[in-house]
Amino acid sequence: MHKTGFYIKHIIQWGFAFAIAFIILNLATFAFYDPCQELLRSGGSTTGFLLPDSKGVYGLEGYCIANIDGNGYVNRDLPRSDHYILVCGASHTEGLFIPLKSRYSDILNDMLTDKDELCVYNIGRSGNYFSVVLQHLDGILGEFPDADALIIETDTLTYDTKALYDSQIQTGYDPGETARSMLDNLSQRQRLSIKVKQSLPLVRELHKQYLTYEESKAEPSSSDILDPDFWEKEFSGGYSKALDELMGFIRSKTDKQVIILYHPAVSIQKDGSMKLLTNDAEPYYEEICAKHDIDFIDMSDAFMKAYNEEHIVPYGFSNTTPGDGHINRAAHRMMAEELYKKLR
Amino acid sequence: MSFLSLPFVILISVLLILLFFIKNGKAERLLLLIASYLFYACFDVHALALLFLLSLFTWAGAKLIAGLIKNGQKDSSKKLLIACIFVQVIVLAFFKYAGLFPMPVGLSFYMLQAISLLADTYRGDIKIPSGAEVPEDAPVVPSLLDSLVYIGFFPQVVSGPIVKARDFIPQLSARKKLTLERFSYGIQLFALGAFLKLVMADRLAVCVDKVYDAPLAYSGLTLLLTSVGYSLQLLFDFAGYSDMAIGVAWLLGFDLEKNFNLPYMSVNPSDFWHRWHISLSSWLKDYLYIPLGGSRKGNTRTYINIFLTMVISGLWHGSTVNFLIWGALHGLWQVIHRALTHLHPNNKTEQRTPLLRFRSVISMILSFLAVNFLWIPFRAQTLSDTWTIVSRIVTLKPGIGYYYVYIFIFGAILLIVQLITACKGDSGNPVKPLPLGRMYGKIAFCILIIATLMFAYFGSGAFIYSQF
Repeated sequence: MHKTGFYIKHIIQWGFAFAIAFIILNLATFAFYDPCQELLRSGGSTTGFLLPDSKGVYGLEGYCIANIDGNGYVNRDLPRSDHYILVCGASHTEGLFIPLKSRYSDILNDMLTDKDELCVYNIGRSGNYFSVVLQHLDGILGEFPDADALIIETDTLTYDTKALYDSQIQTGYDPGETARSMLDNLSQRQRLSIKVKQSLPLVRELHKQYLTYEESKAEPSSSDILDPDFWEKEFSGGYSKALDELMGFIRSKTDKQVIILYHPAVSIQKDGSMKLLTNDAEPYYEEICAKHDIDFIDMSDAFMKAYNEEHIVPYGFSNTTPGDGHINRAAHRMMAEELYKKLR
Repeated sequence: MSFLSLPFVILISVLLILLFFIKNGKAERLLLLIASYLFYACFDVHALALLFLLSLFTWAGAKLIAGLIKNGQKDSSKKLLIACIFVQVIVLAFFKYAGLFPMPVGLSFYMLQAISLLADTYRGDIKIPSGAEVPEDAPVVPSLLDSLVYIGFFPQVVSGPIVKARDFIPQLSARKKLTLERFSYGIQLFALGAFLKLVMADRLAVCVDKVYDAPLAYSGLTLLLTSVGYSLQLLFDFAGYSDMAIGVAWLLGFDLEKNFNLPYMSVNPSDFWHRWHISLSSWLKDYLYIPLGGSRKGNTRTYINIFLTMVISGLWHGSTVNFLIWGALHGLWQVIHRALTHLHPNNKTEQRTPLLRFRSVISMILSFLAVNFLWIPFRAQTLSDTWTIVSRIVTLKPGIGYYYVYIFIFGAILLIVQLITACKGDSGNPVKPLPLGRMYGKIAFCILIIATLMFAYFGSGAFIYSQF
């Protein structure tokens, strides 16, 4: 009887200790990983919104305290100008790795105006790659009909002939599907779920860790998206025609200025040089974009110049590795400068 | 099968349950042998044959040596001992340097234990504790089962700590039962080791691997900082593994000595080797340095013995010229330090004056810088890379400026631990086991476990020392 009481006491104590430890570490997690909640949608300008008027903390790659505006996009709390440029893209554009003012869209904004307003409006969303952005073109033009220009950011041109055609398939646009309306229509259960997730960043961090662990056990993928033989076959086939059709499709949708902002991935070589990881599709894009009056900005030269002259690597942070992951502050600045040259 | 895997947790759990119920000593040892060979087979089932054959050979050699000693043939037993050691070294050299076959996991470690078994049998150092199954004054020839368990004992067969036969074999006859205190200590050591490995070492490996892959790309300052990162990574990786191994051994009822004792607090090379990979230093001292003559044959011979011991230590670590250089430079450093100590003998005083403290701090910093510098050839892939790194650091060459934040964070943590130790005037590690019977101990332990899961870096899993 005495022994049973001893064990019960210790089991209760362990449970209590675990709860206290969990609370302490959960509080600590708010300082470095408290991501914003996402509201997924079927169509529109992006694949989803972030919870309007909320904040998030991202400290696992770089460090950022994100501010979500009333429309569900990551932007500073400033009014949108009557004349504005819309910036679309994936996580690089969303920029949840560096302070908000250091993103290329914000730097460009500050280059273009002295006023406290947004003349560059960022709707970047993780996972909204080049082809995804193009599939949401109807949504983008529907949701932001008064934008003066459109910037589409991409870190790769590895879209084969089929992907180029698929990029024209539109997801559609429902004007009533705004972040605010989605938030208002959430059920009590969904609201509770969001509240719980917001209160327990530690659980989300542990879940992310579990996914990373599972990923680390998986066999590395054997596919090489930069295989020169594959791209040679593509380029000698119907690639140009498909790209021409895609650019023609974009131009048919809007007569506004469209800029494709391309920043290739890089790799640090054993001999100390930096190599651009490309599939050599740049000349095709340059030629065909020009044909359709679409601006194509290729960051290759700027990146190489910065590396060769100042040893600046455009990707990576002080808590990750150079050349890997997302673009850093230096790259954002370079991209803003290249965009400014084109827009001024 | 890694320590940090579900199969290992299952293996150790089943083993502990079975050992709890088994009361027969021989059955216990048989079970330990089965578990050890099962663990080893998960790494390389073919190499298990080598482990078994080498253990068998060692046991037969030890038995013959003991027999010859018993018959008064001391000279013959010495010749046999040398022949047996020679065979072991040839086997190791064949796998390590010939490069014809992949190096069997843990060969470098269990071979040293095999030599220890032969040498300790020859010296008559293996004693059976009182109260054990065998009378205290009985001549000890380790049984085949004991020899197999000793050489293949799974917590340390892959990467040590290297346990001497005279310290381990007597424990087989008097294995300590698992108590709550023992469980508490063992599990904490294991958890701390897992934290050091998964959170600290593996996260530092991210930066170190990247920079050492292309040293020509990085600035001198970055290379210097990364060399510090590697010093930390190596410590956390190997100390983490050792802690886990010692923790598991504790759970199984065996006491293994600690393998690291804040090595970057050392004030000179001799002090460093008393704190770093203690089990290897102790092995080298007992089975190499002292048999070579130690310090008994004059100064010149002492210097030669020290230098030779360190060169052999370098060769034991790896087959490339980098390891030879690393060992030789450590040898040279020790010889210079010893010579200087002889020239200017330090009047030891108990009084800890501010000047002496200041001198200690300066010695500590200089020793760390020397150790850190010597880790460069240890980590660099080639001699050319070593030269590149050293020359770029010395000339402060421009290049990518990459200042990995975790080097600062983990370096600061280690520095704080060392400062606390220094302030206490203690030479040992101030990180003591938590009192799990108390509430705050339980909370701290839970924080350690959750923090390990939170911050673990999954990607580079292998322990550095398992490749040696």
